[in-house]
Amino acid sequence: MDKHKILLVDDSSTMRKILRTCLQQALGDGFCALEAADGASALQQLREHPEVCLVLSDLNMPDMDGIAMLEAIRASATAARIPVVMVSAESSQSRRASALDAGADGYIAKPFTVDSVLLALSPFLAKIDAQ
Amino acid sequence: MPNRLIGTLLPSRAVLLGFLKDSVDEVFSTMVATVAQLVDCDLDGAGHRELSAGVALEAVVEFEGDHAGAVVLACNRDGAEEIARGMLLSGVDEELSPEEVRDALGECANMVCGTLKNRALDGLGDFRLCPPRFVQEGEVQRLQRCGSLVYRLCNGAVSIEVWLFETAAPKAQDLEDLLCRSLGLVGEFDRLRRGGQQGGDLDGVLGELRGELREAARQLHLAELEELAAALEQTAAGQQGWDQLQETLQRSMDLLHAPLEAIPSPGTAGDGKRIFRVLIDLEEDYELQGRSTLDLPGDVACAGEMLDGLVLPETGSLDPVGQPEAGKMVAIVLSSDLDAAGIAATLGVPMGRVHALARDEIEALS
Repeated sequence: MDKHKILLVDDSSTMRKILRTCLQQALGDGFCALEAADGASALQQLREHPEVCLVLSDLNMPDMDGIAMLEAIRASATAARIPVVMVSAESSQSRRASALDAGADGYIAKPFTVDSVLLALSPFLAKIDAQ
Repeated sequence: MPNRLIGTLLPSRAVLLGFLKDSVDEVFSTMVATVAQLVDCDLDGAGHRELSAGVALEAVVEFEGDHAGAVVLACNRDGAEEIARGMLLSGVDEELSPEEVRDALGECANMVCGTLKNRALDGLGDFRLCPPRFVQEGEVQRLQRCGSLVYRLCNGAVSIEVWLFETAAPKAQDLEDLLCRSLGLVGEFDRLRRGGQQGGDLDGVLGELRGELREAARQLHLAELEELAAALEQTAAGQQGWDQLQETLQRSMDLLHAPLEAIPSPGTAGDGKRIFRVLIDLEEDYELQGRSTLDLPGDVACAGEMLDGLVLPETGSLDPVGQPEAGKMVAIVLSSDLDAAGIAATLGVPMGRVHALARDEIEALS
């Protein structure tokens, strides 16, 4: 069976590794993590891997930030329906609102526990499992 | 009592440091698998003994917006690696590259600054975080340091500091200083007046204060300060008594300090009063006024004994005008101990705010 592909977008390699560890705990070996360090690289990954089923993305990134990337995904013909969950150290109401307005499906505030990540992702992971 | 002044101002340095401590606790307890022991709490920038071997890496995350500042994480080599291993869950045998250590430290600073922003600043305006960057020690000179916390890790140490850009806008600390000076001057005026003497040079100082209050009122849109300035003018013109002016000033001082919202019902009043008395006792026992660094293990141990024993001598009340800093400092240091005692959960506001009840408010809790 093909592994589910999840794209992790963060300019911090540390945060990408932490998210990968969280997913490992939830999905075991049943997923494959793709990684990108900024919005432009993430869009490139989505073009190369249209089978990606979930995107976890940082909000503040150099060059193309999370919101700009999200808007590009939602405008894309092939990737518009992929769930995107934003991850950010900023959890103010205005930042959450701007992410959701841009089309985010969820928002995880840093710092987080493994449980809180799994709770936020559970609707999407359940769909992935059902596929 | 409404707390209108604080809501429009940056918290004072001591309160901001309390928020920083809470933020560090949250980040380290969830994202950094290491034991971090708070060993120093410093408002004025005294030397950090734990980092005497030298700062190897300094990560800065700035925030911009209605106020600007930064959180700085300064580590010695062992401390930086310890934090990176704690975040990446790396074993001691696993070698980390310098890039991995830098990235982890930057992300740690990012989360501490983000949490501080969420806890302390978001209610005061619009702010955004800048990406982490690394600096040479001492490079962040253009900011005013508000305080630092030093943690001893399993290996190494880290100093976590909060800085603010110097701005023309008054902060809570400035306003508190201003009101303290006003109260002192008014008392002196009153003493001279009762002795049948003229104000003399004090008239000029009073005029300057009036100007400062008006400027602060203009910048902050605070009706209370306008009233104060008007009261000063009326008193100087002999249109109202000194006692009345003193009352107005004291009322403003009480407003400036956060009220003890921590005591919402009679059921928790005992705890609140007990904590406050511990603060008072510590202030007196340790002569904290004027100290910039606490003997943390000693002070917390003393607080713990008092909390457990519940034998608290009658010591009167903390003078909110003369001893505010001491109360704030102890409140910050005590916050972790109060957590352990199961009392902090009933408070609902940071302990750093619990220092400033007016005397009549304390008596009302009896």
